[in-house]
Amino acid sequence: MTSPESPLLRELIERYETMARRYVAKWVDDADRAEDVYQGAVQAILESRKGFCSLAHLRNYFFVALRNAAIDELRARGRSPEVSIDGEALARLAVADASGPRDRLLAEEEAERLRARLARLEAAIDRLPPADRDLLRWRFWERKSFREIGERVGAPISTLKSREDRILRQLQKTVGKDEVGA
Amino acid sequence: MACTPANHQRLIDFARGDLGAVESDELLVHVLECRSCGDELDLLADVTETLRPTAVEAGVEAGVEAGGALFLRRAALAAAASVLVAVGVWAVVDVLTPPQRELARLADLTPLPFISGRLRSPGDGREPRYEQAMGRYADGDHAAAAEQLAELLRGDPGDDKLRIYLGISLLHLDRPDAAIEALGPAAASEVELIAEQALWYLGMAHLLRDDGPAARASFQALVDRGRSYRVNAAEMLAALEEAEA
Repeated sequence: MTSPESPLLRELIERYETMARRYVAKWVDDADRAEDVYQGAVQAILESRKGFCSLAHLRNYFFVALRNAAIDELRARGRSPEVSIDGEALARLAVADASGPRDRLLAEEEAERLRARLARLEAAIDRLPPADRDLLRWRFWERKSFREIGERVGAPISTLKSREDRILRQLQKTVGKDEVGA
Repeated sequence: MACTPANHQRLIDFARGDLGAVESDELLVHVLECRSCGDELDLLADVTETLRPTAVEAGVEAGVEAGGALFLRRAALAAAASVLVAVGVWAVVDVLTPPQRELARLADLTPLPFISGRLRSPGDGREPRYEQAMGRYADGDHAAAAEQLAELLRGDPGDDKLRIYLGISLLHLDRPDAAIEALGPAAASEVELIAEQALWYLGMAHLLRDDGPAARASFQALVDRGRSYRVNAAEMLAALEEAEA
């Protein structure tokens, strides 16, 4: 059973920190409430004493928890968010493929694998040509559009899209798609 | 890569926060069932976090301008901050701390990350000035940030979030008394997270004043609340006890 206060489990969840915050922001347009939803979902997992049989299981559970918490928050404020999928059905889907043992301590082992993967990824990004590194940073950290980047570097959008695809394929190959998430 | 080019593009849009809520729902259902898309989602999450500016890049130490939206790796909530952040924070504390202020060495001044404008409610006439002030804050220019945030706060004393950011900037300017004045009302906020953030930085302000009992009271209040800051506050209480032993 994973410890409810495990910093390792927090580390595994925070792998999705930026993506998760952006996702919550799509539902909840108030910054403070969005932050509460995010922190609440993280804290709920840390304190749930729930076991996870894989990182993919944890990821799926986390995003469904974020989504359902965001919708609950909106409804509590009298809002009626457009929802195309039933939350309980989604929650069932999130655990449908989680058929492995859930009572073993996975956090430390998985955190080690994740750290190794991130180290490989960081090294791979460091080895990229500066222009490729800049493209990634502008796209995924600064959320620049291809149009904005194109104007900045004087390259056509199609070229930038192709470069992004090539870089991501290269990075996926480097880190090994089966290293985590199994 | 993802199972289809269309899903590959949707995953990128999701990672960037460009996909709408309903479209995200549909993608989420797909990811729950598609291993290759799950793998790609993980890659995009890892790429994004790897590109997060470090504390030094964010200008905590030297006010270096790194450009773009600046965040600090692992905010105050993170139990295991990176060595780089730790070095940066300790360097700041060392500069701020005269030798006689023993407890100040315990203070963790890691600023809360600035949540970008797209997360904030639109339509507020103060938004441009707020964004400008928070740009200074994110750049580590706390003197300018404090001045601009204080002015904004005078126009809206009830904005507790402003109080938090102002308090943090004042701490970085080694003005703990002013920080306590700014943070105090926010500690009574009805929004749980804001109250907790205020208590956390109030604790740091008391540490900078070498006021152990007051710092202990702030951290103990966080432990008693039993929410996000509980573990961090308990660690601070233990460090305080050790320092004062």
